[in-house]
Amino acid sequence: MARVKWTKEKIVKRILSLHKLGEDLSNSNVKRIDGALVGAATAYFGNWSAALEAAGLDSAEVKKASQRRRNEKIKKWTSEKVLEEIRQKADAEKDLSYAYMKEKHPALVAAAGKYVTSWKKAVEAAGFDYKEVQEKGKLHRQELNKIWRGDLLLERLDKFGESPDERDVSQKAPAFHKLLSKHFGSWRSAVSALKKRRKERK
Amino acid sequence: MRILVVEDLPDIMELFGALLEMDGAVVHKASSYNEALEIADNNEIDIVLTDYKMPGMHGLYLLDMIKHKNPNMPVILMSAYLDNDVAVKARRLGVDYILEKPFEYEELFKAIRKLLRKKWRE
Repeated sequence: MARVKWTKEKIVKRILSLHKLGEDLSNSNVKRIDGALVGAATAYFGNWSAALEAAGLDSAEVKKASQRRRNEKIKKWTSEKVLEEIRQKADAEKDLSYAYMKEKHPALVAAAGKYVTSWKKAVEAAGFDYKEVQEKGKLHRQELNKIWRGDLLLERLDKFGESPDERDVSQKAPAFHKLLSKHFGSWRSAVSALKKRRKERK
Repeated sequence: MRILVVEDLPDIMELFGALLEMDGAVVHKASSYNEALEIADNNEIDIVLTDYKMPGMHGLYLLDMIKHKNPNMPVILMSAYLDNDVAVKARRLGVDYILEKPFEYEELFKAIRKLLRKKWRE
Protein backbone atom coordinates (compact mmCIF):
# COMPACT_ATOMS: atom_id res chain seq x y z
CA MET A 1 0.00 0.00 0.00
CA ALA A 2 1.28 3.45 -0.92
CA ARG A 3 2.27 5.62 2.05
CA VAL A 4 0.98 9.15 2.19
CA LYS A 5 3.75 11.73 2.17
CA TRP A 6 2.23 14.24 4.55
CA THR A 7 3.08 17.92 4.50
CA LYS A 8 1.49 20.79 6.39
CA GLU A 9 0.01 22.00 3.12
CA LYS A 10 -1.54 18.61 2.38
CA ILE A 11 -3.09 18.45 5.85
CA VAL A 12 -4.57 21.95 5.52
CA LYS A 13 -5.91 21.10 2.06
CA ARG A 14 -7.68 18.02 3.38
CA ILE A 15 -9.17 19.93 6.31
CA LEU A 16 -10.52 22.57 3.93
CA SER A 17 -11.90 19.86 1.68
CA LEU A 18 -13.85 18.34 4.58
CA HIS A 19 -14.98 21.83 5.57
CA LYS A 20 -16.27 22.39 2.04
CA LEU A 21 -18.11 19.06 2.17
CA GLY A 22 -19.95 20.34 5.22
CA GLU A 23 -18.46 17.70 7.50
CA ASP A 24 -18.40 17.93 11.27
CA LEU A 25 -14.73 18.82 11.88
CA SER A 26 -14.59 17.68 15.50
CA ASN A 27 -11.61 15.51 16.32
CA SER A 28 -13.79 12.45 16.94
CA ASN A 29 -15.73 12.74 13.68
CA VAL A 30 -12.65 13.32 11.52
CA LYS A 31 -10.96 10.36 13.22
CA ARG A 32 -13.86 8.29 11.97
CA ILE A 33 -13.77 9.52 8.38
CA ASP A 34 -10.03 10.02 7.95
CA GLY A 35 -8.08 8.69 10.89
CA ALA A 36 -4.74 9.22 9.15
CA LEU A 37 -5.43 12.94 8.79
CA VAL A 38 -5.91 13.46 12.53
CA GLY A 39 -2.72 11.52 13.23
CA ALA A 40 -0.75 13.57 10.70
CA ALA A 41 -2.24 16.85 11.98
CA THR A 42 -1.16 15.98 15.52
CA ALA A 43 2.33 15.12 14.32
CA TYR A 44 2.76 18.28 12.26
CA PHE A 45 0.79 20.86 14.27
CA GLY A 46 0.90 19.46 17.80
CA ASN A 47 -2.86 18.90 18.07
CA TRP A 48 -6.05 18.89 16.01
CA SER A 49 -7.17 22.36 17.12
CA ALA A 50 -3.87 23.89 15.99
CA ALA A 51 -4.29 22.24 12.59
CA LEU A 52 -7.80 23.71 12.31
CA GLU A 53 -6.43 27.15 13.16
CA ALA A 54 -3.68 26.72 10.55
CA ALA A 55 -6.43 26.07 8.01
CA GLY A 56 -7.99 29.40 8.98
CA LEU A 57 -10.84 27.87 11.01
CA ASP A 58 -11.92 28.81 14.50
CA SER A 59 -11.43 25.63 16.56
CA ALA A 60 -13.78 26.81 19.35
CA GLU A 61 -16.49 27.45 16.78
CA VAL A 62 -15.88 24.01 15.25
CA LYS A 63 -16.50 22.42 18.67
CA LYS A 64 -19.70 24.39 19.18
CA ALA A 65 -20.96 23.59 15.68
CA SER A 66 -20.27 19.92 16.27
CA GLN A 67 -22.31 19.94 19.48
CA ARG A 68 -25.16 21.84 17.79
CA ARG A 69 -25.17 19.33 14.95
CA ARG A 70 -25.33 16.36 17.34
CA ASN A 71 -28.19 17.93 19.28
CA GLU A 72 -30.09 18.74 16.09
CA LYS A 73 -29.73 15.21 14.76
CA ILE A 74 -31.27 13.56 17.76
CA LYS A 75 -33.77 16.02 19.15
CA LYS A 76 -36.91 14.56 17.57
CA TRP A 77 -36.18 11.03 18.82
CA THR A 78 -37.13 9.08 21.93
CA SER A 79 -35.97 5.60 22.89
CA GLU A 80 -39.40 4.20 21.92
CA LYS A 81 -39.21 5.85 18.53
CA VAL A 82 -35.74 4.42 17.99
CA LEU A 83 -36.90 0.86 18.74
CA GLU A 84 -40.01 1.24 16.63
CA GLU A 85 -37.96 2.53 13.71
CA ILE A 86 -35.50 -0.37 14.03
CA ARG A 87 -38.35 -2.88 13.87
CA GLN A 88 -39.72 -1.16 10.77
CA LYS A 89 -36.30 -1.12 9.15
CA ALA A 90 -35.87 -4.80 9.92
CA ASP A 91 -38.81 -5.49 7.62
CA ALA A 92 -37.67 -3.15 4.86
CA GLU A 93 -33.88 -3.68 4.93
CA LYS A 94 -32.07 -6.96 4.83
CA ASP A 95 -29.11 -5.54 6.66
CA LEU A 96 -29.31 -4.05 10.17
CA SER A 97 -25.58 -4.08 10.81
CA TYR A 98 -23.95 -0.94 12.20
CA ALA A 99 -21.81 -0.30 9.12
CA TYR A 100 -24.74 -0.44 6.72
CA MET A 101 -27.23 1.45 8.87
CA LYS A 102 -24.73 4.16 9.76
CA GLU A 103 -24.40 4.83 6.07
CA LYS A 104 -28.04 4.48 5.15
CA HIS A 105 -29.78 5.89 8.23
CA PRO A 106 -27.23 7.96 10.17
CA ALA A 107 -29.83 9.89 12.18
CA LEU A 108 -31.35 6.68 13.52
CA VAL A 109 -27.96 5.31 14.51
CA ALA A 110 -27.04 8.59 16.22
CA ALA A 111 -30.36 8.59 18.09
CA ALA A 112 -29.79 4.98 19.16
CA GLY A 113 -26.41 6.02 20.59
CA LYS A 114 -27.99 8.88 22.52
CA TYR A 115 -31.20 7.25 23.79
CA VAL A 116 -30.29 3.56 24.07
CA THR A 117 -26.51 4.02 24.59
CA SER A 118 -25.39 2.12 21.45
CA TRP A 119 -26.63 0.71 18.15
CA LYS A 120 -26.00 -2.84 19.38
CA LYS A 121 -28.06 -2.31 22.53
CA ALA A 122 -30.85 -0.65 20.54
CA VAL A 123 -31.03 -3.56 18.09
CA GLU A 124 -31.14 -6.01 21.00
CA ALA A 125 -33.79 -3.97 22.81
CA ALA A 126 -35.86 -4.06 19.61
CA GLY A 127 -35.85 -7.84 19.94
CA PHE A 128 -33.02 -8.96 17.65
CA ASP A 129 -29.90 -11.00 18.29
CA TYR A 130 -27.07 -8.64 17.35
CA LYS A 131 -24.59 -11.38 16.47
CA GLU A 132 -27.14 -12.82 14.10
CA VAL A 133 -27.82 -9.36 12.65
CA GLN A 134 -24.12 -8.83 11.95
CA GLU A 135 -23.72 -12.23 10.37
CA LYS A 136 -26.85 -11.79 8.27
CA GLY A 137 -25.71 -8.35 7.09
CA LYS A 138 -22.29 -9.66 6.12
CA LEU A 139 -23.77 -12.60 4.26
CA HIS A 140 -26.26 -10.34 2.52
CA ARG A 141 -23.53 -8.00 1.28
CA GLN A 142 -21.33 -10.92 0.22
CA GLU A 143 -24.21 -12.56 -1.58
CA LEU A 144 -25.14 -9.38 -3.44
CA ASN A 145 -21.53 -8.88 -4.53
CA LYS A 146 -21.23 -12.49 -5.61
CA ILE A 147 -24.36 -12.26 -7.74
CA TRP A 148 -23.13 -9.01 -9.27
CA ARG A 149 -19.69 -10.49 -10.00
CA GLY A 150 -21.32 -13.40 -11.77
CA ASP A 151 -23.51 -11.07 -13.83
CA LEU A 152 -20.53 -8.95 -14.88
CA LEU A 153 -18.56 -12.03 -15.90
CA LEU A 154 -21.42 -13.46 -17.96
CA GLU A 155 -22.11 -10.10 -19.58
CA ARG A 156 -18.53 -10.09 -20.87
CA LEU A 157 -18.47 -13.77 -21.76
CA ASP A 158 -21.55 -13.18 -23.89
CA LYS A 159 -19.41 -11.02 -26.17
CA PHE A 160 -17.32 -14.04 -27.18
CA GLY A 161 -20.09 -15.22 -29.49
CA GLU A 162 -22.89 -17.75 -29.50
CA SER A 163 -20.71 -20.66 -28.32
CA PRO A 164 -17.64 -19.26 -26.55
CA ASP A 165 -14.51 -21.35 -27.05
CA GLU A 166 -12.44 -21.94 -23.91
CA ARG A 167 -9.11 -21.90 -25.73
CA ASP A 168 -10.01 -18.67 -27.49
CA VAL A 169 -11.00 -16.97 -24.23
CA SER A 170 -7.99 -18.22 -22.29
CA GLN A 171 -5.62 -17.03 -25.04
CA LYS A 172 -7.23 -13.65 -25.56
CA ALA A 173 -7.99 -12.91 -21.92
CA PRO A 174 -6.20 -15.23 -19.48
CA ALA A 175 -7.05 -13.18 -16.40
CA PHE A 176 -10.73 -13.14 -17.34
CA HIS A 177 -10.69 -16.89 -18.01
CA LYS A 178 -9.17 -17.47 -14.59
CA LEU A 179 -11.83 -15.33 -12.92
CA LEU A 180 -14.60 -17.19 -14.74
CA SER A 181 -13.32 -20.57 -13.58
CA LYS A 182 -12.81 -19.27 -10.06
CA HIS A 183 -16.30 -17.84 -9.83
CA PHE A 184 -18.29 -20.61 -11.52
CA GLY A 185 -16.07 -23.52 -10.53
CA SER A 186 -15.33 -24.58 -14.09
CA TRP A 187 -15.52 -23.42 -17.69
CA ARG A 188 -18.46 -25.73 -18.32
CA SER A 189 -20.45 -24.25 -15.42
CA ALA A 190 -19.73 -20.74 -16.68
CA VAL A 191 -21.03 -21.61 -20.14
CA SER A 192 -24.16 -23.23 -18.76
CA ALA A 193 -24.77 -20.14 -16.56
CA LEU A 194 -24.41 -18.04 -19.70
CA LYS A 195 -26.99 -20.16 -21.53
CA LYS A 196 -29.36 -19.84 -18.61
CA ARG A 197 -28.87 -16.07 -18.57
CA ARG A 198 -29.60 -15.81 -22.28
CA LYS A 199 -32.76 -17.84 -21.86
CA GLU A 200 -33.94 -15.66 -18.99
CA ARG A 201 -33.30 -12.52 -20.99
CA LYS A 202 -35.30 -13.65 -24.02
CA MET B 1 -6.54 5.00 -21.61
CA ARG B 2 -5.20 5.00 -18.08
CA ILE B 3 -7.77 4.37 -15.39
CA LEU B 4 -7.45 4.63 -11.66
CA VAL B 5 -9.88 2.19 -10.04
CA VAL B 6 -10.54 2.76 -6.34
CA GLU B 7 -12.42 -0.09 -4.70
CA ASP B 8 -11.97 -1.81 -1.35
CA LEU B 9 -13.57 -5.13 -2.29
CA PRO B 10 -10.74 -7.24 -3.71
CA ASP B 11 -12.97 -9.46 -5.87
CA ILE B 12 -14.71 -6.53 -7.52
CA MET B 13 -11.42 -4.69 -8.01
CA GLU B 14 -9.83 -7.76 -9.61
CA LEU B 15 -12.80 -8.14 -11.93
CA PHE B 16 -12.90 -4.49 -13.02
CA GLY B 17 -9.15 -4.68 -13.61
CA ALA B 18 -9.54 -7.72 -15.89
CA LEU B 19 -12.54 -6.32 -17.78
CA LEU B 20 -11.02 -2.91 -18.37
CA GLU B 21 -7.69 -4.41 -19.42
CA MET B 22 -9.55 -6.55 -21.96
CA ASP B 23 -10.84 -3.30 -23.40
CA GLY B 24 -7.34 -1.89 -23.71
CA ALA B 25 -7.07 0.11 -20.51
CA VAL B 26 -4.03 0.44 -18.31
CA VAL B 27 -5.48 -0.02 -14.85
CA HIS B 28 -4.04 1.42 -11.66
CA LYS B 29 -5.67 -0.13 -8.61
CA ALA B 30 -6.09 1.41 -5.18
CA SER B 31 -7.89 -0.15 -2.26
CA SER B 32 -7.96 2.99 -0.12
CA TYR B 33 -8.30 6.70 -0.73
CA ASN B 34 -4.84 7.43 0.59
CA GLU B 35 -3.40 4.94 -1.84
CA ALA B 36 -5.50 6.46 -4.63
CA LEU B 37 -4.27 9.97 -3.89
CA GLU B 38 -0.67 8.80 -3.98
CA ILE B 39 -1.19 7.01 -7.29
CA ALA B 40 -2.97 10.04 -8.76
CA ASP B 41 -0.10 12.25 -7.63
CA ASN B 42 2.59 10.07 -9.15
CA ASN B 43 1.08 8.67 -12.36
CA GLU B 44 -0.50 9.86 -15.56
CA ILE B 45 -4.22 9.10 -15.19
CA ASP B 46 -6.98 9.79 -17.72
CA ILE B 47 -10.02 8.94 -15.63
CA VAL B 48 -10.91 7.88 -12.09
CA LEU B 49 -13.48 5.26 -11.15
CA THR B 50 -14.11 5.26 -7.43
CA ASP B 51 -16.38 3.62 -4.94
CA TYR B 52 -18.24 6.04 -2.68
CA LYS B 53 -17.93 4.06 0.49
CA MET B 54 -14.42 3.20 1.56
CA PRO B 55 -13.27 2.33 5.05
CA GLY B 56 -11.62 5.08 7.02
CA MET B 57 -12.43 8.05 4.86
CA HIS B 58 -15.29 10.24 3.70
CA GLY B 59 -16.83 9.12 0.45
CA LEU B 60 -16.54 12.39 -1.44
CA TYR B 61 -13.09 13.27 -0.22
CA LEU B 62 -11.21 11.74 -3.10
CA LEU B 63 -13.53 13.39 -5.60
CA ASP B 64 -12.89 16.79 -4.07
CA MET B 65 -9.12 16.25 -3.86
CA ILE B 66 -8.87 15.16 -7.45
CA LYS B 67 -11.11 17.89 -8.82
CA HIS B 68 -9.23 20.46 -6.76
CA LYS B 69 -5.93 19.42 -8.28
CA ASN B 70 -7.21 18.69 -11.76
CA PRO B 71 -10.70 20.03 -12.52
CA ASN B 72 -10.71 18.36 -15.94
CA MET B 73 -10.12 14.86 -14.61
CA PRO B 74 -13.30 12.84 -15.20
CA VAL B 75 -14.47 11.04 -12.06
CA ILE B 76 -17.06 8.28 -11.98
CA LEU B 77 -18.57 7.50 -8.59
CA MET B 78 -20.00 4.06 -7.80
CA SER B 79 -22.14 3.27 -4.82
CA ALA B 80 -24.45 0.62 -3.47
CA TYR B 81 -26.37 3.09 -1.33
CA LEU B 82 -26.15 6.66 -2.42
CA ASP B 83 -28.88 8.87 -1.05
CA ASN B 84 -30.08 12.01 -2.75
CA ASP B 85 -28.14 14.39 -0.49
CA VAL B 86 -24.88 12.68 -1.28
CA ALA B 87 -25.65 12.67 -5.00
CA VAL B 88 -26.36 16.41 -4.87
CA LYS B 89 -23.11 17.02 -2.97
CA ALA B 90 -21.19 14.90 -5.45
CA ARG B 91 -22.61 16.86 -8.38
CA ARG B 92 -21.74 20.11 -6.66
CA LEU B 93 -18.17 18.87 -6.36
CA GLY B 94 -18.10 18.13 -10.07
CA VAL B 95 -18.64 14.37 -10.29
CA ASP B 96 -18.98 13.42 -13.96
CA TYR B 97 -21.06 10.26 -13.66
CA ILE B 98 -22.73 8.29 -10.87
CA LEU B 99 -23.29 4.55 -11.11
CA GLU B 100 -25.50 2.73 -8.66
CA LYS B 101 -24.31 -0.77 -7.84
CA PRO B 102 -25.08 -3.26 -9.20
CA PHE B 103 -24.66 -1.91 -12.72
CA GLU B 104 -23.80 -3.49 -16.04
CA TYR B 105 -20.26 -3.28 -17.31
CA GLU B 106 -21.57 -1.89 -20.59
CA GLU B 107 -22.94 1.15 -18.79
CA LEU B 108 -19.62 1.76 -17.10
CA PHE B 109 -17.66 1.38 -20.30
CA LYS B 110 -20.02 3.68 -22.23
CA ALA B 111 -19.61 6.32 -19.51
CA ILE B 112 -15.81 5.99 -19.63
CA ARG B 113 -15.73 6.37 -23.42
CA LYS B 114 -18.12 9.31 -23.37
CA LEU B 115 -16.16 11.15 -20.69
CA LEU B 116 -12.81 10.52 -22.32
CA ARG B 117 -14.06 11.66 -25.73
CA LYS B 118 -15.28 14.84 -24.08
CA LYS B 119 -12.00 15.33 -22.24
CA TRP B 120 -9.84 14.73 -25.27
CA ARG B 121 -11.93 17.06 -27.46
CA GLU B 122 -11.43 19.94 -25.02
